Amino acid sequence: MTGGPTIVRPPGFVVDIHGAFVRRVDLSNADLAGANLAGADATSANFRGANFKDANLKGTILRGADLRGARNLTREQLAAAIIDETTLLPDYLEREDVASVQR
Amino acid sequence: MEWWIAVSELVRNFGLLGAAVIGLMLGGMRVVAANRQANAAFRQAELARRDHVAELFNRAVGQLDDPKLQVRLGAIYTLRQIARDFPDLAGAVLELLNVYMRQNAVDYGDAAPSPDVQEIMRILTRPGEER
Repeated sequence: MTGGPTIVRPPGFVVDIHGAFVRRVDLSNADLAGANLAGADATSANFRGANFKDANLKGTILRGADLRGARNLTREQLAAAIIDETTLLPDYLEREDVASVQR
Repeated sequence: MEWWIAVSELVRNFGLLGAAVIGLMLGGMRVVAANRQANAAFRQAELARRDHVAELFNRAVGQLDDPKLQVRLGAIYTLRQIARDFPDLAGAVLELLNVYMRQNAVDYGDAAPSPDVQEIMRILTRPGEER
């Protein structure tokens, strides 16, 4: 079923859910460009294919999150977030690289 | 005699021309008036429509805090439809949902997220999706 026209984001609008609780939420293919997810709890969330360009991930809990296929995610962004060994990273990022930035 | 006939034809033709000009002017004035009336009716209908949307928007905002999931979901679907049908209100709807997610961060532990949280996040992060 389709709902007719889609929503057009106005210029300048960014997702700002800092501090929100989004555990296990399906955010696959999400457009998170410029988004503020600081301090959000995204434990075990599905971020497959999501676009993280310039997203703020400071203190974002990404334990167990699935980031495979995520786009425009940088080591610096991940180093600012809280990840663990259960966090699934995109192919172009190594856990050691992230750790080296954290150090 | 012929001279009089020629003069009377001339007078008649001028009379017909004058009548035609007056008729055209009256017709034109009627068209302008009808046009104004139609524009006023259109503006009235648009204002009534926006009033209705504002009412729907306010009601939906009030229902976002409802304890019943189905009421909250209905409110979210209403807001989604408003954002789709009225692009100038899309920003207000999206900002409202942003604020809602920040202010109503409910810790549901490791359980699956509530459908309303899932739907709000879908609207915020995949606005172009038809659903």
